[in-house]
Amino acid sequence: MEEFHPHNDEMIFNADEAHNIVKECIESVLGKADYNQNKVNQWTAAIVEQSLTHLVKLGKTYKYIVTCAVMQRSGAGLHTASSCFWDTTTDGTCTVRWENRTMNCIVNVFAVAILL
Amino acid sequence: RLRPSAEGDGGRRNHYRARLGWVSIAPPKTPSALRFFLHKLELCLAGPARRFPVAAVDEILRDVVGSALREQRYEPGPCREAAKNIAEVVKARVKALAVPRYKIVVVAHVGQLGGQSLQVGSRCLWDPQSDTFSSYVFKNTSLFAVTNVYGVYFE
Repeated sequence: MEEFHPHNDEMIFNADEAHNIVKECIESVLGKADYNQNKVNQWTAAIVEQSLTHLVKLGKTYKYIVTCAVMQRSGAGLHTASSCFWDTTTDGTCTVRWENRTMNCIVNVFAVAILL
Repeated sequence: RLRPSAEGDGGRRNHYRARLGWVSIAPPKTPSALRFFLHKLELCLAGPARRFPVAAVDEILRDVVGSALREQRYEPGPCREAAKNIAEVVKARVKALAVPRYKIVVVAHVGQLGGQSLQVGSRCLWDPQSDTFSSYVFKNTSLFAVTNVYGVYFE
């Protein structure tokens, strides 16, 4: 009796596409702005939500985690590291670093595949 | 329990009555495909057998980040290594909890306390009934660390 096996080999995370999407979102939110303590909360929320919306429009069966860190440029150092336990054939990550005169922005996108 | 019902629009689509409601799909072509589909659907509706243990992960974060950074002063080289080390060790210990069908993502930020301001935000597109996260903030006189662990159910 023949057994049924589904094929899931077309699912690969396209990091370049995600990179472009996120870069555009950051530009549209932070653009020419200067660091402002009162606005930074809504900036990080806007970047993250816009990125998620655009990633979902790609229509792939992925769960997404988007993290954004915005820091004032004062000469202080910041290090970010990540480690993941997942399926390396289907899942992937993308990091976008952006800066202007007064602030730095780091956005991480993690895409985790699900089976449908 | 799942069972095929007698209704359908001209046989092109069958409606399978599931525990939570009606699911409308095109019929699988072979008996083994049908069995596979029903098995997967049942697993899907059941959700995770064991939930992500947030309390245990909180404890792991407190332990790993605390012991890595407690007496440390900020220096670029050692702190870069510390961030990588924290991410790897936390991932290994959460993996050792062996929660079935959960994928793990760990993100660690380590920075200098220099009077500047930093905002870290994250949003996730996932299933809130099965997926969750844990977060820990550490501070001493010269540095700070923010570590997040996300647990994503492989459904």
